Amino acid sequence: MGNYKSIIYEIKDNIGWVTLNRPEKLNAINDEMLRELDDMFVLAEQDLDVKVLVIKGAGRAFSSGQDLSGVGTDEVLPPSPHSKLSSKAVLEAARRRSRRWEYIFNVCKPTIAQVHGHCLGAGMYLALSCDLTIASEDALFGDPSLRMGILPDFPLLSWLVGVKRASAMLLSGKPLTAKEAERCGLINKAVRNDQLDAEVSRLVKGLSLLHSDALAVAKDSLNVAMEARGVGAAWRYTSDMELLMQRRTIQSDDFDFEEMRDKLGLKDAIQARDNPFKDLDR
Amino acid sequence: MSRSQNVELTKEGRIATIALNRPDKLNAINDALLEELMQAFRRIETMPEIQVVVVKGKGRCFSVGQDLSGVNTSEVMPPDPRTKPYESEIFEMARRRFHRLRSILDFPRFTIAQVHGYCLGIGCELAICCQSIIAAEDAVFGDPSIRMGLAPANPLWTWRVGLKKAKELLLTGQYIDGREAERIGLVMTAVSLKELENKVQLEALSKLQLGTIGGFDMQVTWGQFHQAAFETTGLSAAWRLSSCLHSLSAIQRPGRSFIDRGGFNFYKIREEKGLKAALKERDEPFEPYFPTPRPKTGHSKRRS
Amino acid sequence: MPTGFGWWFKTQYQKSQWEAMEYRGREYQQIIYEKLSERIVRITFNRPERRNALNDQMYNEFQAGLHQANDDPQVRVVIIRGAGPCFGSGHELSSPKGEESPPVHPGLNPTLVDYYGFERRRCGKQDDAQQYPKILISQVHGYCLGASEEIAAISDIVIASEDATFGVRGFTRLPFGISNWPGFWPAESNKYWGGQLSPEVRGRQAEEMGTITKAVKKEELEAEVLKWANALAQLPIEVIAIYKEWLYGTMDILGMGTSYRKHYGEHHTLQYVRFRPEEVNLYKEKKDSSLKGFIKKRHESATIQDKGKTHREE
Repeated sequence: MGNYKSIIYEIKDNIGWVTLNRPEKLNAINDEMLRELDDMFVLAEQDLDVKVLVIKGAGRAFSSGQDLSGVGTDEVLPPSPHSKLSSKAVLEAARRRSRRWEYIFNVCKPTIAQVHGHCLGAGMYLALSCDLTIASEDALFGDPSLRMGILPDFPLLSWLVGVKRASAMLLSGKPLTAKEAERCGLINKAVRNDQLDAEVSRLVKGLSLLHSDALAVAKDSLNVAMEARGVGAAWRYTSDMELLMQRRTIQSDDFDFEEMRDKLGLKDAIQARDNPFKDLDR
Repeated sequence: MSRSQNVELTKEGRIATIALNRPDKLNAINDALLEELMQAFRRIETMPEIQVVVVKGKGRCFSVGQDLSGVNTSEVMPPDPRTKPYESEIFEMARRRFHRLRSILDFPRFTIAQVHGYCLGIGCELAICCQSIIAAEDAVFGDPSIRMGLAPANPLWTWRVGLKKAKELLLTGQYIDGREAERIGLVMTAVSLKELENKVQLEALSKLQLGTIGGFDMQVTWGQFHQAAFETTGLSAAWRLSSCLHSLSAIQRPGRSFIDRGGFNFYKIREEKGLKAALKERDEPFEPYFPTPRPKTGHSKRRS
Repeated sequence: MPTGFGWWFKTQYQKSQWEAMEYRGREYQQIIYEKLSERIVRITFNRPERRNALNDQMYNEFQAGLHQANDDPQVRVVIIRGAGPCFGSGHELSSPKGEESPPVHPGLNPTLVDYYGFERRRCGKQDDAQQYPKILISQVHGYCLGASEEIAAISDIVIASEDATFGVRGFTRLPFGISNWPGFWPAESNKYWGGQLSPEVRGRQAEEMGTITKAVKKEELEAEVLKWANALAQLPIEVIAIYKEWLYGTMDILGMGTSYRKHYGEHHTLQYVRFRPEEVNLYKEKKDSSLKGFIKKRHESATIQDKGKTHREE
């Protein structure tokens, strides 16, 4: 369905199957993937044939998160603090990013994230914005944003696991295993690798027996618990703080990811980013 | 103490027990039972010596939830859409339902739900409005509202088990047992049926042993402040919103509603084939995907 | 006067507070302030003979230490720990008269206006510490009660020994303790609020609950804390400050600040409490059998014997 390059979208038996499709890049999310996801969600929401959406990743991982190559990533990544973009432009981009998660969170059909392998950064936000998240035991959920001086723009995290766990995850950048994620309420279930397909299949088939109307209102009825807690305000506040983060004062010894990447290449830049924290990493 | 028809209120020392008393109907909650339940709570409020309230069900289970027979059930079940109800009636009923349950949640005593067998629908809501739930390992919890086209009306689930688990249970309408309920934090602890009564009594006693700075006075006053904390995190706003959405889902105008577009029509099937058949048709399609745990107490086949 | 975080340290009315919390030219007597490295400061509560109970002076020194670390341009992380057998046992209940640490004795019969001012000073300090723009790591062993538990609760990272004890048997759950915070999930999960009356939570359980970061064996505690401190000290100062501002901002949107401030009212109810005949009366017990006796009696009365096994055994 659709002329997509970085995702695959198929409808089968009233279920919309969405596959993030850049396996050679561990499904890193770039601007093109974001555009195609945006497009797909709009179509899926209006399509009466689609009752449930499943999102998964091709290849070895769900998604390694934002594409850090710097090529075709102006939408998915905030600009470097050295950039000369106006504050207004930076704020608008940040607002679009958090509005996107808010939109996905409120899509009026049940959404399931089927997660295996790495599920990091924006990949994790995508998986958590879905109603239900099922993972195989080899999945890893984490967010190294702070290591790069990027604000983790997903306030829903502390709504899901409490502020202590959220803070430990974000400050350390240390990923959680699927079992740990299940225990702390981040995801619904961790299953054996060879059971993941069957588990998700069972869940979506069961859900697709229910009527769309009921599912739409029921989902809203549960999401209002988050709205009443101010998650709407939190999405907005987050984009404001993202701007502040991008306008911070850079000290000479701060880690500069873009500089490292230009000097050493992407892979080594990521390693240089993570090395100081390796005592805490698995 | 007092024996109204559908609810039995007894007391011993400083502990009062409210027992749902329609065992032949698996304590299905109809208008009369609901009213007597609220009366029991109101009576306890006039007894300052009572400090703990245990809520349980007589017979084989805690409660199968709303009485779905349609007889004397206007306060627990939305009306059959074919009778063309007014929207306002449904919204008014939802408002009363919200106020009742909210007043149980902020009841100024320690409340403990003692759960065995089925604990479903509004019965389950009653349990989660208590401060502690102690359950039998094979108790069965769930809210199958969505299978009847109704949105869940109680966001308190997200406070008790978190957003992810609340969605998993309420969007599928599936059932879980006491052990699973303990694992996800829905209940405080799950024990064998034999131990249940004793465990609840111990919990009640421990609530009475208040060797503390402010004694019972403080429990009540701080309890009310605690309710304010619920409010600042949006509970009543969410609850009212959920109630409105529940009402919307119940309004089911013929011609536009999902019932006329191939959705499961509970009222029609109940009318044509009886309540038992309607319940069977409601749940059977989901068994292969979400198998129901069966309680060991009572018949496993018969469910209201 | 101290600069940086804490709005109310700047107002005229709080001048006496500034002076109390000034760090320049001060010799700490009840805390130890160390620089473990250019980027890491460690504050140790140092009244082990009083179980690190917080009296006015120790709390002021703690605040001063936080200000000093905040003004130190390279510091990113502050470790907080207690000397001797425990992290801290909360506000000192037997502080001398006139001190603002302990709860006001009902016998003093304060006016409402006085009481309001008192609570804002006494508990507002905690509220302020939550706005701290650098990383706080609490290193907890032994008891961690009352106001000390609140210090751990507002820290970003809490590493505790497995047998550390948060809360006290027989004392009701704090409105704002390690449960982070009432009205929130997982605090309202039946597993935890159901246990409201006996909130003696060990380190291992607190880790399971997700209300502390990690529980480790006692002998590994120091090393684990240093591991976290060294790793997190890699983060740029501004990134930390803005991240914390964001995180606690979202919590404020969620009503956390209000939840916290409402608990002053709860303290206030202590002024008017009257005990049932069968209850253990703190004030009477303290008079009759001293604080130790009261604590013993409270612990006993909160323990139900069940067929030889103690109820609520962890």
